[in-house]
Amino acid sequence: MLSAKELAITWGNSPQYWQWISIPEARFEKVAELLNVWWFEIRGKTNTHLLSPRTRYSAYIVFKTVDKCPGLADLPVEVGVGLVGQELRERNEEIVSEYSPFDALPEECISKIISFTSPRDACVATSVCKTFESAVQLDSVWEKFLPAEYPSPIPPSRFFSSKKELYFSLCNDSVLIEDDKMIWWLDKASGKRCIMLSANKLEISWRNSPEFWQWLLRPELRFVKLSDRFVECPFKIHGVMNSQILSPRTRYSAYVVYKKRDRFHEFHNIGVGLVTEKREDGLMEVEFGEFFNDEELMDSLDCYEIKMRIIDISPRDAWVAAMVSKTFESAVKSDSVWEKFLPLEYASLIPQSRVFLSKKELYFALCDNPVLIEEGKKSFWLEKANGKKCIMLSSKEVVVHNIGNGLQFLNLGLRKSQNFSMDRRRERETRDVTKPKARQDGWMEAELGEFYNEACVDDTSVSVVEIKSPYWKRGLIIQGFEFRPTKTP
Amino acid sequence: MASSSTNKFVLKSNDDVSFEVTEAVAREFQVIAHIIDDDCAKKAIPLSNVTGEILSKMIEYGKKHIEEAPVDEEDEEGKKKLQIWDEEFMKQFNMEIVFQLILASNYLNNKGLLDLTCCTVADHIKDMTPDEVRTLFNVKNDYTTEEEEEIRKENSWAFE
Repeated sequence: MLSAKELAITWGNSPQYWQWISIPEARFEKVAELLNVWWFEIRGKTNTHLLSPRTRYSAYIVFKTVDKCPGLADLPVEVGVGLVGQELRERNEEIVSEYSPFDALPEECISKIISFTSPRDACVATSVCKTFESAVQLDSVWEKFLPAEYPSPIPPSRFFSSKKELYFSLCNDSVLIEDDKMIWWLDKASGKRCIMLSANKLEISWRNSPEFWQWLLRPELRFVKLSDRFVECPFKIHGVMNSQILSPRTRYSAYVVYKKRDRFHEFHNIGVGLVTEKREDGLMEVEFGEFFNDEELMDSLDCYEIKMRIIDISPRDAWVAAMVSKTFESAVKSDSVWEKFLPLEYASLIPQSRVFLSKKELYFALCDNPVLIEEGKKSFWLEKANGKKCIMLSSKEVVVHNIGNGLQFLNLGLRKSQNFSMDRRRERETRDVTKPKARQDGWMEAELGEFYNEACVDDTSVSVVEIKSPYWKRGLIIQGFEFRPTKTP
Repeated sequence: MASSSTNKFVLKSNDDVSFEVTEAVAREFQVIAHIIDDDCAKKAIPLSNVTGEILSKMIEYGKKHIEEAPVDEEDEEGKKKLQIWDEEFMKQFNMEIVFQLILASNYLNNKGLLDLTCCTVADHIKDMTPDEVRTLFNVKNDYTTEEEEEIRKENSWAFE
């Protein structure tokens, strides 16, 4: 007798189809219990030397049934025994050709099943068999994949013979919306909405100053180009849009699409996220910094509950504004501007031996010279660009950045307490994660980050993208920001 | 006329199993609702395409969705609870029963159960290769080699 383990059982190693159990009355340690399959084949072979020569043998399959299972009695079963290489192979094909559960289903049910997969799965399913192929053509399948509403400027002259044709047209031919400042299309594999904001729709530092940026016209898009004459200086690019335009309950990645010449360094300090509070001008923004690079935090926090800091103007903006004109410069020097950038409790943090002429001087002192606080256990300073509090713990080898209103994250790293004076700029760079990639259309793109677009909570949810590049020189052309569903690995 | 909560109807399967249900549960199935509206439901309603085993499961589903129906559109918690129950409900069936449920809920026209059962099968097709789908559901490949090559070429992007 061959044990079940000795037999080749179809799907015998898949726990969802067969399970291996022990039964006291069995001769072998483990026996196989069938759980749920459509068809199966069991083959076994043994060397005839083990049997007596010149004797007629019968072969049996030994089994028992559980509950009300009809066992093998009422089912179409093919059995056989023979010498290797003869009859069995033929019978094998007979078993495979048994009935499929899909045979009994009307086409509309098969379409319905396929409509619960994805556009990609549907296209793969066409090659299963002809029944599937025709079920996939039905409008009911593609209606389900199409978004509830799509932009009206589909050329009215175009006639679509089927919803499938319409679907692929929306994937392949992007549509200009919002006064041509956005491009809209569908992701072919998932049917999720994708958006690209043209440079025209972005907030760019000095965007209207021809000495800094040149606006290039292209037939389908407006690009912005960093002027060749522009000197080294940090700049900022923001994109803001309503997340309702994207597909709900979808993880998106945002990219900046650009071309560069030799001397342009990569982007630094970029991020994307959702914001929930309003600014005076009706737009909303939030600074994310590296926050969204922290996957663990991303998973554990509901985006809408993150307390976010609303920035009116950052110290870097003030600094930049001062360069615009003399009027600006004097305005920016006023104590009221710089006091706003200082943390509330700054008075207790100032080294008592020092006198400062202005709040601005105090601000930069706190940026450039970390102060020891809490009996020297922590070092405290401000980040120059945005006035955020930074803290370094001396003993625990942990760096804590406290961003604005209590939002904080940790960076574990091997640092010794005497490294307070290490180059903070370098420290930043190592945390900036950008992977610029060449696109098929000849542009470059860098991923800004990911965010989860929950079902739109209310009208005021807006996503923000921010790029700050302190190192750039020149030779950059921005095409825009792009939002595409995040590819799961 | 008695209210729908007390009105009872008898549903009879094709293997002669009878189930007494309230009007509300009976109306979960569009086809039966029409029979009631046409006043043809005096005696037991014979359902020639459904076995007793399948019908009992469908009634279980219908009852649950009447009893635990979310209060309104805003009742996220109620929706979630019912969704979890649906998932558990489907776990007890093997594929053969799932397909029988699809046929029966298509026949009796219950959209919720049809969606649920179709979605269960769809989960076995997602991310599968054509060969895997054929093996799992014992579907015969009726394409010639050339035809299959042609259809794969048309959809080549989906195989990347």
